[in-house]
Order: sequence, then structure tokens, then C-alpha cells
Amino acid sequence: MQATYIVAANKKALPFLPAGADVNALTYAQYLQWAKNVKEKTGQAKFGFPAGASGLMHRFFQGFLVPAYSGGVVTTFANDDAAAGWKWMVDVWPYVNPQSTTYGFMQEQLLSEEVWVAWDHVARLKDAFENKPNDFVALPVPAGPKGRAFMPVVAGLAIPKTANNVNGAKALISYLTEPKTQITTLREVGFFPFTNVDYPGYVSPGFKLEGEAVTKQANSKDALPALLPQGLGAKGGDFNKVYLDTFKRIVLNNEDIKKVLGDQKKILQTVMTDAKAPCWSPDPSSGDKPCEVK
Amino acid sequence: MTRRHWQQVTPYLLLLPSTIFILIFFSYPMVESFALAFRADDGGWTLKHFEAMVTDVAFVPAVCTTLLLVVIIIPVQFVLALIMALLIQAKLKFSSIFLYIYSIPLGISELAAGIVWFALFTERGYLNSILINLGLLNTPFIFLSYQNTVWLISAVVLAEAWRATSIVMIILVAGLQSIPNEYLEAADVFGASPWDKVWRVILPLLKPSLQVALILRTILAFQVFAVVLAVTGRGLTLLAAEAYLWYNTYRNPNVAAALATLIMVLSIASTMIYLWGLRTPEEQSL
Repeated sequence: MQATYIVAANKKALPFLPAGADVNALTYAQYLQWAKNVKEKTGQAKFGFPAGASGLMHRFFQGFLVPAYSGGVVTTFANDDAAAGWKWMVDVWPYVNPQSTTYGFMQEQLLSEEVWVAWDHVARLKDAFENKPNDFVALPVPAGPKGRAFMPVVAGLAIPKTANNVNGAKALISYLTEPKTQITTLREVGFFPFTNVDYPGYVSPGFKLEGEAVTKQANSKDALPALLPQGLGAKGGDFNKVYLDTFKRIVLNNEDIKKVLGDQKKILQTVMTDAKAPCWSPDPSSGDKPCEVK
Repeated sequence: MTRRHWQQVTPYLLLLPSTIFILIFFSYPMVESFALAFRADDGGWTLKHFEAMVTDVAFVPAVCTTLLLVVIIIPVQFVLALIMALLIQAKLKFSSIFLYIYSIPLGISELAAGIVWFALFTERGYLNSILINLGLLNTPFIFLSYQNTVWLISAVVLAEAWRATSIVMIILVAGLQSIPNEYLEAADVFGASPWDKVWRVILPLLKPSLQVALILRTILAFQVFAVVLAVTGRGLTLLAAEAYLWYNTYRNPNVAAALATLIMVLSIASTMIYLWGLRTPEEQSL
């Protein structure tokens, strides 16, 4: 089972794409220009982000924007490349629907056409593709100077050493990884198969759309997987807060990017040190030592 | 035991279940969360969590918005509740129907009320649809933009006034019903105008009920957060909303407990002010 985040776009937004842009291999610069074109030509901000209380906006910074610009998540948090990523966020924000700070699951605003283009988790875009497969296209996320960073969410299955019934557990894992079970999982909860499966005819066109975008994104030439934060334990929430507060201060409160990154860097380092969490990909390994913000 | 003994013990026996209930479900968690706010990771005591609370980006805005909402919402609710209570008390035709209609929001949870008002105000919501269909707007107006603080606060005030005015009204209706008619008849005899009657007879006699309602409403106003979260998302923040976010989203129960402690201190302080400011002298009580 795997999931990730992709971009969903209403077909009405496609005519506003910047000239020469390949919709399946957009760059952040083209995404910004696209948002700007839509706002200027329709008068409405039709791009959205799930930046509300129940949204997953922090993952956009941790797995997409910051690694795409800086090539890392923690070590490069405050460098000039990361600052360029935040500058992109500031630049795109005027063309983003200002109600984004209330959005949780982007499928809702996509279906009501309050927004045309949105980034979110596949499970939170599912209803849009399921209900109106002919209205939407599923796209890989944009690429930055360091690559097409994306966060693959892989569900791992393991058997504890102390398990009472190891053979039963093995049988369960075999069952869960059968293509048929994976297709059922996909249909029920929107987690995609991790082994190659052919989508049978009864898989709805919506899931097929999402599944193809997930594959395109993962197999793109410049793909840069940025893993889910690891080893943080109880500090996972504090880690997310660092990125959300950075967003709030830089984008919503218009504070100076360098100053905010300098302030937040110290908090991030405290979180990493307290959690004793080593770096994870795409940051270079720090061995057993806590990951260090450069 | 003799009968007299039983009579002496009975009141305490009757109080026992509610005392146990309060001890288990209110006092114990309160003491626990109070301790949580001061407990360090190594088991010692610390002020670190309060430091984290105060230095947080969202803290100052949360304090300001919480106080602002208390200052705006409570007077609005009291004026509305008093008018509603007087209307019911005026014994007009169908006045009992008013009572039922006014009480409807009492049965709706805070979060559900927040979602209802979000559905009204959002870009594709009912309000914009109506305004566009009436030809008053061409494109939807964005009420709930984080840049538009005035509208965000207005939407929350409307939602809260709608949701929580009825509890104040019920307390005031009960208070009004306990005012003997003789006082009002005496006022009539002296030729008091309706305004004089409200201002000089009803309101002073209503003071104990007003005090109860004010204490209740203010404490509840410090606790409001689901409405704000549902209507404004990250656009506005409150102390209680921050406590929720620290606990639920950032998974840090210590800082959440520190915020809860602050809310408790504010609630106790406001209660003391009401008890002292609205005390009823012996000779004025009914």
C-alpha cells in the first residue's frame, strides 16, 4: 500500500497553462505563471492549498517545496535555496484562494469549483476524481531546481519478534499483498498498489487517473523522493509546527524570509536534538547523531 | 439510628453523588492538567512549557482575539437575550412558540453550529448564492479570507450569538418569572413608562440572574473554539483553539495544559470580578 500527494486540475484551467508547458512535467515557475494567468484572466483566485486546521499543508513544505528547491528537508532548512522556495510561496500566494486557510480536504473545493487546481493527498482528492472523472486531470507535482520532490507514503508491514502466531501473521501479509487485495484497498481507501498490477475494468476511472499520475510522478526523470519524517517519535507534532509557523510568518504575516528562517532554524534544531532523530532521505545520513540544520 | 439522626444525615447523602461526580470528572482532571503544565520530561518541575506557550508565534494574537471576542460577544448576547426574554414575558399571542424557536440552537453542538455558519459564509455558500441570485453580486464575495479580519470576527460573533444566546435567555426568563407582579403593579400605579419599568425595576431585581448568566457565558466564551476553527480555519486563533492544536496537532500535552491553566486563571479572575461587581446587597434581594 502506498500513497502520495499529487495535483488535481479542473479541465477548465488547462487553457490557461503557460505556453510550452508540459502538463505532466511542470516546474514551480510554470505553476506560478499558471496560477497568475488564471487569476488575471478570470478575475478569481482558482488555485488552492489545504492550509486549514485539518489540512496537510506542512507536508507540502516538508516533502515538496523545500526539498525541490534545496535538495534537503532539515539540513538545508535555512539556506539560500530554501529561501528561494519560500519566496516562490510568497509569490504564488496572491493567486491562491485566500480561503485556503480554511481548507482541509481539497476534493470539496474542487467539486464545488471554488478552486480549479489544488495540491493534496490522493486520499483527499479521491472524491473529485471519483465523482467527476471527466472534469478533472491528475498531474504530477511541479519540479524545482533540485528535482521533482515528492513524499511517498509507504505502508510497511512487520511482525514483532514476540508475536504469538508468526505463521498466521505471514499468511495475513501474503493476503494483504495479493494484487486482488491491493485493488480492494485502493477502491476502499485510496492507497495504491506498490507492486505492478493491471487495473481491472471494475476499478473506477477516477482511481485509474490518480494511479497513473502517481506512477508518472514516481517514475519521472527528475524524481526526488523525500521520505516521511522519521525517528521523531512524540516530537512529530513539534516538527510539523516549525514548518507551519514558518509558513504563517513568511506568507501570512509577510515577515522577512531570512529572519524567519534564522529564528525557526533554532527551534527545528531543538526538536531534532530532543528527539535524537538522525537525518532521513533526501538529507545526507548523519549516522546515529541527530540531524543538524546547517 | 434515630429519625432525627437520619434527618441530619440525609442532606449530605443527597449531596454525595454529585460531589463524587465533581471530584472524579472535574477536580481530578483539573489537578492533573495543572500538574502537567509544570511537569518536565525527567519528572521534575519546570516553567519551560509556559515559556514555549508565551514565545509561540500564535500566543499574542490568540490572547487578543479571545479577549476581543469576549468583549464583543457578551454585550451583544445580553442585549439580545434580554429582549427575547422580555418578549416571552410580555405574554403576547404565541409567545410560548418564541421560547421553543429561541431554544433550538441549544440542542446543536458547537462544531455543528460552526459548520452550519461555514456553509453560509463560504465562497460557494448559501449567502453568496442568494446574493448572486438576487442580482446584488456578480461574483461571489470572499467573506472568510484570512486577510479580512473584520469579516472573520463578524462571522464568529454572528455564529456565537446565534448559538449561545438562548442559554442566557433561559436564565433571564427564569429570573423574570421570579419577580413578583406587585413590584410592576406598584410601578404602574406611580405612572412609570415601560422603559422606566425595565431600567428601574426589572433590571435591578434581575441582577442575581444576570450575575449567574454573565459568569456562565464568560467562562464558556473563554472555552469557545470549535466554531472559530470551523468558520475561520487558521485565519483566527483563540487560546482554547491553540490548546486544542497543541494537544491534537502538535502532540504536546504539556503546552496544551499550560494554555488550559491560563484559561482557568482567566475564568476564575472574571468570575471574581462579576461576584464582586454585581453583588446584591441584602436589602435588595427578593
